[in-house]
Amino acid sequence: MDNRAQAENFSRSVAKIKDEIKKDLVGQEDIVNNVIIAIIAGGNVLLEGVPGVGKTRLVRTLGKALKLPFSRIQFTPDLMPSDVTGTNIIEKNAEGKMNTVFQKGPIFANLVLADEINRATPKTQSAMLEVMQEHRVTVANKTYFIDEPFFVLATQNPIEQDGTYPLPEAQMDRFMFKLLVGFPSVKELADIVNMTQITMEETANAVVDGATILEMRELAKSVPVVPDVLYYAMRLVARTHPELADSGETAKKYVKYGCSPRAGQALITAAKVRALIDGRFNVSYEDIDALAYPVLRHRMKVNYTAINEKLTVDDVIAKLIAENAKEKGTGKLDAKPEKPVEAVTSANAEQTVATAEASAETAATDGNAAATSPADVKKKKKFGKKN
Amino acid sequence: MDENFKNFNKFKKRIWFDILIQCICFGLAAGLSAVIAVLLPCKLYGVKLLWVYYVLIALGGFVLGGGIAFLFLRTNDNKIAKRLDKELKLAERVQTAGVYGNLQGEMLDLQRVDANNALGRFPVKKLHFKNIAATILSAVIAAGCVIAAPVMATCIKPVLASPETELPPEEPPRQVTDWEWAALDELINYVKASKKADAVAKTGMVLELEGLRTVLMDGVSQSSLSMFVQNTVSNIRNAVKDANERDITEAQKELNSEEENYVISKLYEIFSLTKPGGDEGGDSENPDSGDKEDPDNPDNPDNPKWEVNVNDVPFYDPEKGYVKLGDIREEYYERVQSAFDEGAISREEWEYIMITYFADLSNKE
Repeated sequence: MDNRAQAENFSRSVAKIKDEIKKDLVGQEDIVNNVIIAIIAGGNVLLEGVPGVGKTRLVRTLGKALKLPFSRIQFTPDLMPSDVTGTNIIEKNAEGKMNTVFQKGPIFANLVLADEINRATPKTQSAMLEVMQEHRVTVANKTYFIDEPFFVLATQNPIEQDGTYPLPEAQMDRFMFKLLVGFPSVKELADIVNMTQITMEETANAVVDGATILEMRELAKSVPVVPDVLYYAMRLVARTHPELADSGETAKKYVKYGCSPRAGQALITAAKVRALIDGRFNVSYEDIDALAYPVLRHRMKVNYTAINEKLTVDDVIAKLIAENAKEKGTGKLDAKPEKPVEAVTSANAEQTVATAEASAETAATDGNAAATSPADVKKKKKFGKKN
Repeated sequence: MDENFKNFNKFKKRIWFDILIQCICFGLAAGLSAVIAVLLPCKLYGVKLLWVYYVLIALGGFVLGGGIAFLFLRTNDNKIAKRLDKELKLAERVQTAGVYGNLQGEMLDLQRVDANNALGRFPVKKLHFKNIAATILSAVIAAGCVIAAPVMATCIKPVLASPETELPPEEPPRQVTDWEWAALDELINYVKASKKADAVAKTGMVLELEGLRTVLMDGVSQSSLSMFVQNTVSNIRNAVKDANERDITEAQKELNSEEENYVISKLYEIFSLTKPGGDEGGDSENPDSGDKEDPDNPDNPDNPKWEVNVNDVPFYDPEKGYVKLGDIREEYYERVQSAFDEGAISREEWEYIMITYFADLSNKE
């Protein structure tokens, strides 16, 4: 399939996912859009909102629409890391001998709903670090790969802070987006009530599979970004750092600490997906500005001056965007434009998934400590060809 | 250029055309303002410049102004793409297509087609004329200068001009009178028919006299007439000198020189010029001249015919410049005459004034 067909397929798939989600979820279009962007871009999402606004329902509906194995972990203070990742258990084999077998935890799914993630202890939260970033789990010195595509969609409640453990910065940084799920409007509320009078079950149908998601992700990677836009995005991230000399007045006045380089990566990756969804084949300044809020809001911390002036993180981000507007078109990155990566065909994507699945399977069953990632498989193949 | 850049090229042409218009307007404004800037002080201080200088100033200003404007306004494909993206709200489509224009790839091809299609949705006139206020202003300045320049050239008086720096007015032409023409022709014929000078000396003198006649036909001023006569005299002397250097008898040499002196004296006399070295015109060795009783002889101070018609010749008044008629002139003439009659000025001085200021010899006939 060529890029044109892939692009058409991309738009069609996104439209289908949205349509299916609309069947079970009223309103929240921005949230749905951003969740879809994050999923295609391969990022994790933290949904923050008061109880009952549809966070869990959104993730469950998404799981159905994407035709992907879905698991839900309800985070509680007594939840242990092994409850998330899985653990080795002693099992008798056919010959009657005892041996240890790895029992996969609920994290071994493509779509994981980490419900009320901030209710678990930091120890359990930390169990999510490796899997969220590297899509693999290490238990007793053995590494197990998670099937691609893999996403964690976590929810947390901004109120009722008693008995909760705020997510550490390292954990927060692993979420591509933090989305604030707001209260629906009166009309939406009425629609929700009417809809749930008929059934509480999700009625969404599976319209997109994992291979398609991977194909979409590969296509998005090939979207070109001009140096000017790239510079603009990187300047926005740099502006969140008050310690930098050229960070600007807003950061120096309102920001306690700024975003990590992952923010820059997330900004560009997500912007490429947003551009494709928007029917464009290039990233624009508008993409960067729109995605700055979900990408930056959980990665930076405002100081007491901002709190004193009753400024939220989003208010500070708005100021940073306004301040950064002067960087548009300045193009201070002297880097010559490099050819963006070419999108892999659907056949390649399927092969990648199959290879990853096979390697994960091998690692899990053989208990081979020498873990093999999809990237490693590719490298080995290339190396083998050379030899 | 790639087919995908067809629409971009349309806009590019339009932008360059706009830049050209702006440069021309700025150049015209600069060139014509420079002319006004030079013309105004020149007029106020009474300094006269040739029109060629004004043309050169205008051209220089145009090139300089237009060139500087071009340096500031010139653009390139990347800048054009950015401008198109911004003005037509194309979400960086055009600049992306431009930046990756030389690279090949399926996605890049799609992007280029998308950018071209997006541009195709807009007519070229949708693009705004940049710096329109400045361009209109410069055009108005240029038009104002075009109107102001001739007005200033004719209406402004040299109010700031100091008397010291004022240039003397142009000398009016000296009309060669009929009598002078006849006398000159007579002299030429005399030389041609001369039995004293030999053929070579005669030819040299005739050539010089005829040359003088030709020059005088073009019209001359009093000062240039004097200069031409002096030159002719000098050339006649050289011609006779050359003739005498030939292998001829001493007697012939003497005769040649005699004829030379006569011709020169006659020449001074015809044009009423003072012979250098105190040798006055008319004091020739011509046997036909030198008669003190001759009523035409200016050597005779009692000759009443020596009076001139003061209204027929130009007169230079230090305060009013050259004037031809008027009471002042009459008064001045009478003052000179009375000064001469009273013996306050010598005859030489009187004669010099008469020749210089009242040199009309028409009544000599």
